[in-house]
Amino acid sequence: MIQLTAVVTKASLKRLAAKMETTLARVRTVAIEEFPPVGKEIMDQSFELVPKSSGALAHSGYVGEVVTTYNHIGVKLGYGGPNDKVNPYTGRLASTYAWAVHEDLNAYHPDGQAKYLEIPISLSSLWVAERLMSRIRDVLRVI
Amino acid sequence: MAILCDDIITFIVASGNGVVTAADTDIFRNVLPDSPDASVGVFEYLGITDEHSFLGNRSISIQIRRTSAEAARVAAWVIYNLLDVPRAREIWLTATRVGIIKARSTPAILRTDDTGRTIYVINVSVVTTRDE
Repeated sequence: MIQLTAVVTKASLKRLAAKMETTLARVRTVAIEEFPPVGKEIMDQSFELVPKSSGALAHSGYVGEVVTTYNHIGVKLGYGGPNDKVNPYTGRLASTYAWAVHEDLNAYHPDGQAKYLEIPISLSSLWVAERLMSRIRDVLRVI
Repeated sequence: MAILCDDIITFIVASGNGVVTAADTDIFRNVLPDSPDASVGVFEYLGITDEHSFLGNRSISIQIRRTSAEAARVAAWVIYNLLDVPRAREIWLTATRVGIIKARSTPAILRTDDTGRTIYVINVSVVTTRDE
């Protein structure tokens, strides 16, 4: 017969909890650091797709601040937000037509296409998690 | 197994909800032609494949046009309610095509065109098998 006795003290539990808190905080910091470049990469891919007839919409793209809540981390990105531009042909702000251009799959664009933001965001599901995991693994290795 | 857009068109037509009558008459694949005024276009755009199965999470956009904004709104919601059924997501579109369908957005006005016709748009995701 083999018998094992594990002794868990209050102090060791406190040390474990503290270590887990530290690890979680570092993982969170890494994720927060990683989101702006991820957002920029998505917007770079989006720029390849967005219609560019006037240039106003294409150049109104932005990557905003990282948004965090207790259990979510994200980054705001899009078109026509803080970087809004006036279309020189129509006088309209890009923010007033960005959504319609994005959604209209029936429209022809010689230099771009609809779903210019949704497509790179959908494709990002194939690489964002791996990118974050790679950084998080680095953090876990040094702790 | 046919083309997903065609299967969705078949399903909407077969539902007999009065929004459309027949494929290529007033409901079309990958185009919303200029006539008739009351038309529906079913488009597919980029979805995500599953590397472990023959399933894919496919993306469908449906445009609904009517001569009045209210008629377009009503027709859009009929199609939306037909495809997005929270307690019965698994829908047999045809005898050989089943899909797990979920709306990505509620119906919204896409635009009003030069002749005053209103176009609504709906986006849905369909987890289903590949086309032939």
